[in-house]
Amino acid sequence: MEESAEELYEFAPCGYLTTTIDGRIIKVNRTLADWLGYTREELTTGKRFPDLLSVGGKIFYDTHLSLLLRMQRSVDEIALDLVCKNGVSIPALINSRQKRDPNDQPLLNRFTIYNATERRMYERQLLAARDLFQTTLSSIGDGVIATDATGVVTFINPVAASLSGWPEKTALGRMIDEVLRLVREDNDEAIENPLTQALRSGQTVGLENHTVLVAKDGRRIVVDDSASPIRDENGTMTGAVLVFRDVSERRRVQRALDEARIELEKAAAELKQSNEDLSQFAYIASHDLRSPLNTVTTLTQLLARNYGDKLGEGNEILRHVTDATRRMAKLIEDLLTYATATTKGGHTRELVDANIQLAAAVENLEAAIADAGAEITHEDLPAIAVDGTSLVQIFQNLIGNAIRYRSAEAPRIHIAARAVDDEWLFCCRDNGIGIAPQYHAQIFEPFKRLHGVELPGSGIGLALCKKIIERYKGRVWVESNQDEGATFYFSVPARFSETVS
Amino acid sequence: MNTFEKHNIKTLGKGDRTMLLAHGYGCDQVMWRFLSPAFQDEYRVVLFDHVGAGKSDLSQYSREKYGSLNGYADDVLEIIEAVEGAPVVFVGHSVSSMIGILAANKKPEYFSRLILVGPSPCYINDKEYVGGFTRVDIEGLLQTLDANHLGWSQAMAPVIMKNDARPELAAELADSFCRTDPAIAKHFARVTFLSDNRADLSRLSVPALVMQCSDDSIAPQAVGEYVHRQLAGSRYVSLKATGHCPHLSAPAETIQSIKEYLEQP
Repeated sequence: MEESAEELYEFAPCGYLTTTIDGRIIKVNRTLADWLGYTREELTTGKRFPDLLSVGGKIFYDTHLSLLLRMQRSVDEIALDLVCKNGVSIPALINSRQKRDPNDQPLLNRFTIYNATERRMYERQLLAARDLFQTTLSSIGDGVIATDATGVVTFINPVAASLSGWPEKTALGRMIDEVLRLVREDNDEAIENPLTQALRSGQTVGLENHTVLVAKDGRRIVVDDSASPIRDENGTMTGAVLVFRDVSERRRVQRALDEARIELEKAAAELKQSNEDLSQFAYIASHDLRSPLNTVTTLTQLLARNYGDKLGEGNEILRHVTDATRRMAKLIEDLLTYATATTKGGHTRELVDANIQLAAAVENLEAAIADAGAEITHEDLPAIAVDGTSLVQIFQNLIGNAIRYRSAEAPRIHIAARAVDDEWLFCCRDNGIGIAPQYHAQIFEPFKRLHGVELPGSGIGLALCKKIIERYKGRVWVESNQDEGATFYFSVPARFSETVS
Repeated sequence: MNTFEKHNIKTLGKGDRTMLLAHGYGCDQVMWRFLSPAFQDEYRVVLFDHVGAGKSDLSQYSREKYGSLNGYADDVLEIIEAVEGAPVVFVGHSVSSMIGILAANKKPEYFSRLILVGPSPCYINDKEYVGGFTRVDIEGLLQTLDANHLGWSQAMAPVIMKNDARPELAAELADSFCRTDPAIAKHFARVTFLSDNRADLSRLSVPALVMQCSDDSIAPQAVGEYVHRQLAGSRYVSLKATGHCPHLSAPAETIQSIKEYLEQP
């Protein structure tokens, strides 16, 4: 089988085209004529090569391609669109040579033309990918610098340019060590750039702590982050990329935070000390008050027993003294409870059945309940992570208050609990005289009584409840209006927590 | 900034009078290679690259200044001052013929004659006016530029950026004819092909020669004739040379026409 040059030319798997120096087509092969849908005669009778191109291609031919050919004889891999007779465009890749005479005068331009439809599609995807990559790296907040395998900067994003003080234009083509000067924070010794280390070791390298970037203009910026080698699909290292960020601000904030925390700890310690002093004082005071009060009580009883018959109307006064000392003893007892509430309890690790504690509180209040004809109801209550004695105190105070501040009706008191998130929310609802909203906050403060002496009570009960509940990180509040009864709520954690102090 | 470095200015020949050659869109001063020797006996021939082209200082490129042809016209005046050549014979190819007209309107005293090779004051068709192109066509050109920069822009970019640290790369730049930063090339293309300077033509007071090629697809004959009509006292010569670059494709005819014009009083 033989191949003729003639046939090879005509039916080659690419287009052949020959033009005069000014672009007039003088010869074309069958392959190209068929692609374009022209007859050979249509192409070689006056058409110029740029006539076969898209308008953009025509301009490119006249401003670039023809000039390049004249200057350097050959131009390869030019991408242009050919326009077929029926108007359809064919993306093409074009190589060209200029034939010259012995005096170097140009004679002809020859073109080979390849169909590049697929390739152009890849290129477009590649361009889109590059745009995405450029946009992404230009938009992120970290500095990014990439180099080739020898450490020459090939990419620098705007953040890196601004931190280093090297604009993109001047940074590209320079060695990484020149663009990114790194020193130790404490002694200004130069540090080997992690990117250089990554290139040498082929491993990802983190910046040392306390690294300072010395910018082109001398600014010093505390930075951190890391460098990684870039490998091609064969695993060959083609360069490295360094990602870094300015941590000066984070440093400053951290320092301010540290200082604030130390201040806070100091204040907390002082507060704790002062609270302890106060508790201690209350404990000692109430304890010391007890013994003279006991003496007064004993002496009053002695007086009544031995001289009662001689006192006449004096017995009435004696009864007032006895009442007053009893109230004072109660007050001292409550004060003592309140003062010791911070030091006692709270460390139990066992769940406590609230039903049992409620029963204990009701038992303690048996006489008062009977006197008032009060009706106490409750739903099934959960087991909770609160010290048992404390829970009895809470129930006892809430129920005791509900009875004490009753309306004309017989007291009806209902206790319930439901789970809300990680907490149990208890409520104690009564049909008493209610509390006007403006007093809702102050009733939980010690010795704040709304009713003066006409109703019994030391003014400690709700403050004690609040103190206990807050020890468990719970909350206590009341919802009520004047003459409409009151509902007290308190929350306690459903589980034990290390935060219990 | 040194104007000579900024524009890579070269001076050839020993004549008393100065001839300034301004290259057009797409290339650089190298394109005058076949024409400049013919004038070196009578003229001091000054060659330069527009900022953004050839071996000009790319760091001087600014989208603001070069957002209209006026930025380039100011550069032409700066070059004439730097070489102390006024009044010059100005030869402008393609877009540089319009740049020359804008410069001559600012400082007519800097110019003795303008030689306009393939001028077009407006490439876009506008009602009755036929410039030869539509805006869509120019978008097509930008796409063509994109397709043709893909192959070399990545590799060339660091080289094109001025590189003092690696002088060995400078050698590769020798072969950079017609090559420039892709972003600049596209911007210059936009500014060149979307400018409309028709209103500036009638203000020209410097004598001018309009050189029109046959079959020029960038600046068609009708456009050349329009420029000639608008420029009072201009001369018009129709070349046999085809295409848009007669100084490359037919230097002898181009030189002959210019010489004949310059010999006329």
